[in-house]
Amino acid sequence: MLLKRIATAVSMTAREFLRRRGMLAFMVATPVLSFALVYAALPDTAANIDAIENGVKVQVGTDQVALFGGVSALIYAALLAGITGFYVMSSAIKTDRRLILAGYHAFELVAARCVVLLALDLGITALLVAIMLFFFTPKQFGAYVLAMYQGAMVYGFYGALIATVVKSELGGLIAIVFFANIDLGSLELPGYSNVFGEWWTQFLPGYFPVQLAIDAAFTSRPDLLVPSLWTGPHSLAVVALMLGTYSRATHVHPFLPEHKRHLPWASILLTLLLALGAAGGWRYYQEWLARPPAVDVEGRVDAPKAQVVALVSGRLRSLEVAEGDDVEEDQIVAWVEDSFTAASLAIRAPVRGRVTTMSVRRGENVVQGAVLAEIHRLNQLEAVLEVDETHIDEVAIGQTVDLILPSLGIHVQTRVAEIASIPLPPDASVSERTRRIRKYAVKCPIEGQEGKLRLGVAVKGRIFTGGG
Amino acid sequence: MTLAPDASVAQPAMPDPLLHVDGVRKAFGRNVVLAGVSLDVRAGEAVAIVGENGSGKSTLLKILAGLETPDAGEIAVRRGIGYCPQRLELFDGLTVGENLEYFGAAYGLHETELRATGRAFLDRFRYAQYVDTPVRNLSEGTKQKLNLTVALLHEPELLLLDEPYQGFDYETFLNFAGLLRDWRSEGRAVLTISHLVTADLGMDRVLELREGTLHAAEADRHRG
Repeated sequence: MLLKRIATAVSMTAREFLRRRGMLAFMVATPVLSFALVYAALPDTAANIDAIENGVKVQVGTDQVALFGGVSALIYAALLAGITGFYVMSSAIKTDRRLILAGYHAFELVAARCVVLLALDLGITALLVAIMLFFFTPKQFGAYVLAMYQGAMVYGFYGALIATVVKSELGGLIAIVFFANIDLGSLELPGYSNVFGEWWTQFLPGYFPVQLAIDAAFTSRPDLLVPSLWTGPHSLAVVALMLGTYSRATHVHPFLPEHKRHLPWASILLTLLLALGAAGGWRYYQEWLARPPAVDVEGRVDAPKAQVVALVSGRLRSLEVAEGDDVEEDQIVAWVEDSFTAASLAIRAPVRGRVTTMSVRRGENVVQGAVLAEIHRLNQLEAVLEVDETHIDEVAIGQTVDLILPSLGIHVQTRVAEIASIPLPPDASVSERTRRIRKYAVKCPIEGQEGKLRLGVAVKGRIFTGGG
Repeated sequence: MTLAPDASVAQPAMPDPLLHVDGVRKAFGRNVVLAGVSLDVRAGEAVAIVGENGSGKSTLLKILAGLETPDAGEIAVRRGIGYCPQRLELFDGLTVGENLEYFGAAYGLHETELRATGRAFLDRFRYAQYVDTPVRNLSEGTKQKLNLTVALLHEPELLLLDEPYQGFDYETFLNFAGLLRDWRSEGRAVLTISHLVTADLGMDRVLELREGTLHAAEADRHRG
């Protein structure tokens, strides 16, 4: 019965909203037109934005168009959702009082409005994602969509909350537009705000959605995915507050016998759920804050290599090993006939390992010092991790490293053994803005995996930069 | 002619009232609107309250419906009420049928029950052809028909009606009067406020709200 009543309220709220064709057209046209105009006006120049990468503020180079697309799509989604939430609630609240007099419970109507809002937020998110894709593609698409939905959700509920408090429609809309602009448009934007990152800004509705959106738009690692879930309890708190203000606004006096029947069990249940959610969310967030400082990096399996060099100039009389052969230290690799003395000289392997490259053929003439072959020391496997310049100073020899070898599905622990002092050559395959960040090689030994690992396979690592 | 205040005080032999109001006071700032209103309405009774504009009729009815808090006084309602506000309180974007469905759910009516009573009222007030029309496209008179139907849908024991027939054509008004007669014969009670009460409505008592208290109305002024 309760569910059926809520379902009726959901259906009626949705029908009433969706019949406002003019309003819907306005909601679609406004962001489309605004984006089109700004797109036409934006200069084609480079821009920077501060983003969080591995818990550290870094500056990411991008361009004006991507910056506008990445940040504004979320602001528009939140703003539209806020106005929608306000409208869904304010258009009904006067008549709701009569529904409550007739027997509805405030909780049922608030629940119905919330369900409709969550669905409308999906539509708003889809609209803004579609518009945004004309501008740029976020690096983490799923996380970006989640950020946008979170922004729409929390702002939708705030809009509805304001409608239960502010009687004037114009006043409510102005409040939403100003609040959203201050919160999303300035306070939460690193580089635009002096208070960015202060503890109290985390209690603003836009904090986590904006941080996640920037993280997802411009970096490739989801640093802020878990903390952004804090928007959930935040939204629940807004709903609980709204239940209170809504009940006040639609209050029907309790001397009427049919209203004495309703126990406030629904409010009690919601409050309990809210308390649980908030406690869980807070713990999760604290754990996230308390996590040891670490840098997440990627790299490849490698091994130190040695070169087999011709000691004299002459003709290669024979090759004793082939590419892929395992050799022992001092094992003969080739015979060279010295062009002066005509004597045959044995060329030996300098180390134990596997012949990975053979650069000459039998009968060829080689000069003194020419590289005949390369031998990788497979008993000394190592992970070569690429650390961004923004983090390289945090990495020190001896720090613990967790390695995940996806090809084997195993997890090994090791330590930082070597840190390069000159950067790796930029990777030509990646975009200009990513190439601006130099990477340094950090080497860590992989022990006990001989014979299992191929050279060159991908490895993921987490370097714990807090200590050894 | 002097009238005793609280002319409506019940006689002891009658059954318990459906509505019992005792000493209700309400002031907005310094403006005392209700200065001790007492009233009983019993099963099968129809009571009309008249009064000048701004005399506090609507405030009294809102208090009785539970939409305003009295500053003092006692109110007891024995069974379910149906309240028809003076201002239209309907969902503008929903159709007539959807409004009835929504309020039917609020009253906890079953679908079959709702369909039968809804249909009966649509026919009685002659606006069944508008069942799929959104409220905002209806004429004021038709909106008022729906406003009234919403109050009647669950067939309450006590009806509280605030200017219930404004905008009605004469035929609908007579239908409404007939409905009130039928309801009273089933033991339901009606308390209506209006600036105009005619003999067609067949009220048992007509009271005037004047200077914050109820008085028996002068017959020549209010009973056509």
